[in-house]
Amino acid sequence: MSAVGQARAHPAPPASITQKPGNGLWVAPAVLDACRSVSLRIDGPRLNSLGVTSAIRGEGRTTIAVALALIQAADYRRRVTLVELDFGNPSLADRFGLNPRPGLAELAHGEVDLAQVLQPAGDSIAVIVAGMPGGSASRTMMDVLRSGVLQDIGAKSDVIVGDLPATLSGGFGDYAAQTFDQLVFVVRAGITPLARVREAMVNLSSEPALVLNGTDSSLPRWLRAVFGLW
Amino acid sequence: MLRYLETYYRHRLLLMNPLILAVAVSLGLVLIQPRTYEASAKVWFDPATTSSGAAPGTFITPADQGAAELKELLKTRSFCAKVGRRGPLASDLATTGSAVPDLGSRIIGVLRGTQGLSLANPDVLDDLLYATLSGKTRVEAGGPEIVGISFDYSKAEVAAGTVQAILDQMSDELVGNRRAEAQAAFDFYKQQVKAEADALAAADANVFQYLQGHPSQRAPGAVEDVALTSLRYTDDLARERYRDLLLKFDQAQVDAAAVSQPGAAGFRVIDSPIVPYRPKGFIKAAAFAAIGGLLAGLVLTLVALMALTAADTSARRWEDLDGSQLGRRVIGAIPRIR
Repeated sequence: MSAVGQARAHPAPPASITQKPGNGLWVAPAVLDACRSVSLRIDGPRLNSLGVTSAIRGEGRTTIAVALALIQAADYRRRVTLVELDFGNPSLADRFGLNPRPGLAELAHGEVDLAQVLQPAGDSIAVIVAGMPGGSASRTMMDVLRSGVLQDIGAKSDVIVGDLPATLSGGFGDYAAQTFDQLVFVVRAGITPLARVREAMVNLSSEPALVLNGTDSSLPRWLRAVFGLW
Repeated sequence: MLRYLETYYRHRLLLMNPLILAVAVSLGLVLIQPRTYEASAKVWFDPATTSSGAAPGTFITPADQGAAELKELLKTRSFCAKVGRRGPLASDLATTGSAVPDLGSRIIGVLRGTQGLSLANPDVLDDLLYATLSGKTRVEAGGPEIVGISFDYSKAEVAAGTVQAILDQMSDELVGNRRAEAQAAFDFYKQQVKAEADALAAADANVFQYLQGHPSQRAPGAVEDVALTSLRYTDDLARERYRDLLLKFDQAQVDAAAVSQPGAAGFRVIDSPIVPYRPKGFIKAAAFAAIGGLLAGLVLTLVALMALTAADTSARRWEDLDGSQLGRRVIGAIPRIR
């Protein structure tokens, strides 16, 4: 049984979508809990498209995107399509045991149709992986944006969640971001320099919501209590 | 403050390294230093023979004066060279080829350019003796008449022998000074006595000659004339001066003779130097090294902590992003999954 399927069988969403890894989309319970709050703050139940990006690679963009997609499906009972747009560094297929192709690249080039690239990951959630771009990642991205496939995908689902490339990686992530109603910008705590965040922000036309990922205080519990950091 | 604390707890092991290393290095330096032995002696200065050099209206104890004299002597190259050659120090330095084989002195030697000079050269050896003795000898008054003398060296026998040599050489120097003073006084008064004896003889002869030439002055009940009275007065004065000088001459003779007697140096050794049976102050040195290392390590750790904190330009908390003037809202924080 898929994650979302379990969510429907059992009313309590958190338990249902935090099943053991290796069985469909999976995100750690703590991450899901935190993303629920994030989703509510960005008016998640009413969003039509949601893009997740970051300044540089390795900031937890894909994890947050998956978590937000799972919440849309399980918590809000919406049909979700999770689209991977990071052609330079695709990871969804490897991480969740999906077919690496055909994907969005093939769809944008007209090699396949939409039904062929949708990979169900539950009753209400489908995933479109990046696929195998023939040319450069940026060229593929331009092809995707020009072809209007994102609008087609959006028409087939309640909400589309885009796993965008990092804006400073040169993959036209900032252009792709413009096509989404709401943008979530992931900042990896303790990793991403603030200067890089600032630099990335300059390139974004819309105002993103910042999510600080991987926060962890190194202070011992008693010291956190002293400083009121519970 | 919070950032510094977080940096510290994040890099605890790294930041502890300077502390541990500094303590280990300082303790290691103490451990590899050669053991030092301290030989000492206690000397009693005789108030009767110690001439006070105090300014009018002030008082200096014999011990203070004796200590000051010895300190002055230890500041002279010739005294140190004599002490070194008199005792075992010079031969030990010549055989070991090193003045004070501790690391600090070696470094100073290299900086001064004296490291590696041949000790067969007497001048080099003298310099080494001077540096060793003036640097490693302590002279302190332990009371009004007692002076303590101590010397540190890496060999117990050499330390004790050197203290004895200091005492012997000091005695020679003081006795030599006093002998020279006594001899000078003796010679002076001897000459004065001889001159005054001649003057007295001449005065006597004048009186005698005058009486021979004036028999009336020799008659019983004769009234002395003015000339005879003057001659007698001159004769009496000469005799009186002669007697005074004779007394001083006798005293000078006594002083000259006394210089040859034991204790003429004006001091007596109460505690003779003995060969020390255990090295000096290792635990104290180790404790000081540990404290010093700890302080140095703390400074290094603080510097490293500040550098790490300054180098960390990443966002770690909401406040970092809010305060970074990004102009964007932070809507959530995802905890780190371990």
